[in-house]
Amino acid sequence: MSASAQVLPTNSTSKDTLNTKIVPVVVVPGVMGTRVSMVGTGSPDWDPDNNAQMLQWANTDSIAKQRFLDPTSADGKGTVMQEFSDLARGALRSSDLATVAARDRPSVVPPKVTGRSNAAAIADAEFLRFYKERGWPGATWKFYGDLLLRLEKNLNSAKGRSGGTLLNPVYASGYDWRKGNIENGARLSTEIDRILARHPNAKQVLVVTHSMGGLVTRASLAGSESKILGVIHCVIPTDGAAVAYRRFHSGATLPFDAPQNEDPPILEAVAARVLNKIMGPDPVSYALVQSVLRGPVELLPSNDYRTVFVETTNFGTNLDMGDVYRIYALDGPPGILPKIGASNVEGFSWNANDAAALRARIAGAKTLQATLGRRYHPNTVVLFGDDLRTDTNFNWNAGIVDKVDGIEDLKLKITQDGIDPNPDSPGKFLRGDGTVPAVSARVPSAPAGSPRVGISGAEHSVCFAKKEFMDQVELFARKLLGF
Amino acid sequence: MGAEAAKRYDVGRVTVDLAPHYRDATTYRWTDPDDSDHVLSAVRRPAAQPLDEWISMKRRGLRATLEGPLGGVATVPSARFPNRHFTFQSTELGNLVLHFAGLSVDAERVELSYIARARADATFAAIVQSLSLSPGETPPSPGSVRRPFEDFVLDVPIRLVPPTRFRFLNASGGWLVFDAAPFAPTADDFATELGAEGGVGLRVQDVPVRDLGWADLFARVRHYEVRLASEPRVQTFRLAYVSHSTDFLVSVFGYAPPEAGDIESEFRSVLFGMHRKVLP
Repeated sequence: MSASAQVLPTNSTSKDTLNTKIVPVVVVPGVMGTRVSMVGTGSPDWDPDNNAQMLQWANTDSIAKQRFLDPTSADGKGTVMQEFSDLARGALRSSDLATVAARDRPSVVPPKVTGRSNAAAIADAEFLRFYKERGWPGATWKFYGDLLLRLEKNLNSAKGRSGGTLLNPVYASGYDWRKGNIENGARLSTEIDRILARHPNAKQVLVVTHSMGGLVTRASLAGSESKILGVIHCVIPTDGAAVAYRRFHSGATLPFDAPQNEDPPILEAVAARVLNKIMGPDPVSYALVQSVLRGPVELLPSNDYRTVFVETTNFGTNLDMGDVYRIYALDGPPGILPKIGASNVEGFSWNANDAAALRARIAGAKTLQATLGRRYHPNTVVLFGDDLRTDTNFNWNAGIVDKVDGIEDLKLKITQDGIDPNPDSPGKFLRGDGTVPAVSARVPSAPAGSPRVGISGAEHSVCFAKKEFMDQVELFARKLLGF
Repeated sequence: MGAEAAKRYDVGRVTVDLAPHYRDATTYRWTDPDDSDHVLSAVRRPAAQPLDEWISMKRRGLRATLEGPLGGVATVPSARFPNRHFTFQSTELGNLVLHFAGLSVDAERVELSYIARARADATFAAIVQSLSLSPGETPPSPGSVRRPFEDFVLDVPIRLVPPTRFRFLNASGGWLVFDAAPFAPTADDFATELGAEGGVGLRVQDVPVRDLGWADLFARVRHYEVRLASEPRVQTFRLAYVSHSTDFLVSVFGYAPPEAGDIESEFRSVLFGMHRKVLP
């Protein structure tokens, strides 16, 4: 673990917190981590908890995916799921949360009391409804189940907090990750209002974010900062992630997206890799799908990411490196747009409409960064994964250095580590969580004094599966809540 | 020339006669209530390529995306429509087996996906063979139930239950959603669903309830006016709970865009076109 400052921000309001104060905890999932019920004709649901649905997505061609995943198209209409997955239902039933829930709602009766009867079925339904009202079904259980269970149990069972009404009810605030982060930030603000309205004695919530959920939360601050006690950002790509650029040139595929740190394989990590592969195994497939996705494209490295992360001397000297979004919008390398007419593995071609759509997404990414600026909650905690090989910068000058399935014109040299220019860590190799490099996830622009903790080996999509990571989440949650 | 006749659809325990300007946009998915990884899906799309070319495209895409054994292309010769099918086992998704078929129906294609925990070639062949535009007089294949799917019927393994949500779109941007889940959705569920679609600043105005009765059915109809973040104009919705005696049968959400005018008369005619299915 690399801790740069393990103190609470000096302006924390939590020191005055009485242990009778209700502060709901809101978990905001990352990109692709919310289960979305798709109502378009023939579209599978976006449900990473359901292998059959994800297999259907893998068997959906790029053009159909483009239609289904566009949240503005009639076929892409979707809503955050309101019903639990089989996986979540099973895990909840085998947990001991009914005892916690029963303190808050007497109609929830722990199953040991009710046994196997009609009454047990009713109690079970009440129990599930209790957490359904907290938004838990919307969060993918594979990625967030352990976090929700642990926070709900440990924050509400601690000494002095184990009687009567729950002081820190844990909510999940899933969102349609296909939409832009500004729109989802506004939605989160509304959701925070709704949660506070359910707890009339509560004035603030504590927010725990994962990955892109951190950007959603930052976007919500304009309307909700005073209603938020503090924010714990977990593996936030605050200045973007280079992998989002690289996949436009390689697709989401091996060997670039090779597993790390998985012996034996972590099933949840395998599931996360499948989600990425569904986005497109080759550059054109990937671009076709991304052209309709607002949130994911907003994860491209921003102008704050590094001074130079794409080395492009071979493309001439007239590239304006002062605005990386202008580079992205170029047709062909080093831009992220395929050349018009380029085709994917299925034989579908990239056309002018696709290019216009992707340029609009790039413009949206730039707008997001301009909107967020350097705005963070004053009580910000940063937790990030470290010591895993992570896409960090790119050198287009290196010539052909890799071949993937015979694609010989892949001229991108992917440098997955390099020298960190941060004066605080001279000579340290750039690292990260396998997806987001530490240079972005350690949030260099967060308020001075914000605690930053790097957890070695914590992998991006499954960071909550790492005990040390989860320990830090709970530790800082307790501090902010005034335990 | 007379007006085109209404078309009859099965929506759970009722049938509904809808005017021809409605298009069936239901996601036809039959699922195992005890195993969500056991599922059959059917979808009809325009056919842009010859069948063999299209099936090759599907296989290239699947092979590039996921790891696992991909079976060869085969045909069910006894099926009513030209068809090709293959299997794929995903080693990354719990070793689930996808049985996939494309059938050419005039200028369209029906895609059938049957996902199970083990290969079930005979079951899938029976499903492919059963796809038909008429119910026919032959009994369903063993272990199956004949189910409607858009204009078709097909034999579905008996364990798999039909969809409960049926969606119809019309040319003016309106829609109808029939929800035949066993429990009636509440007004809260309705508000949540709209809220999930971007209802920032959501305002739900519940206009007085009206009761309607026809044949042996009864409907309690609620009117809503909603303002969505994405659309500044007030949106008008109708929600009806349809029951027989004390037995809830189906809910109906209806929407028409503001420019389409009042939806009252259209919604009433939809309700009056509903009939309870009398089971043998």
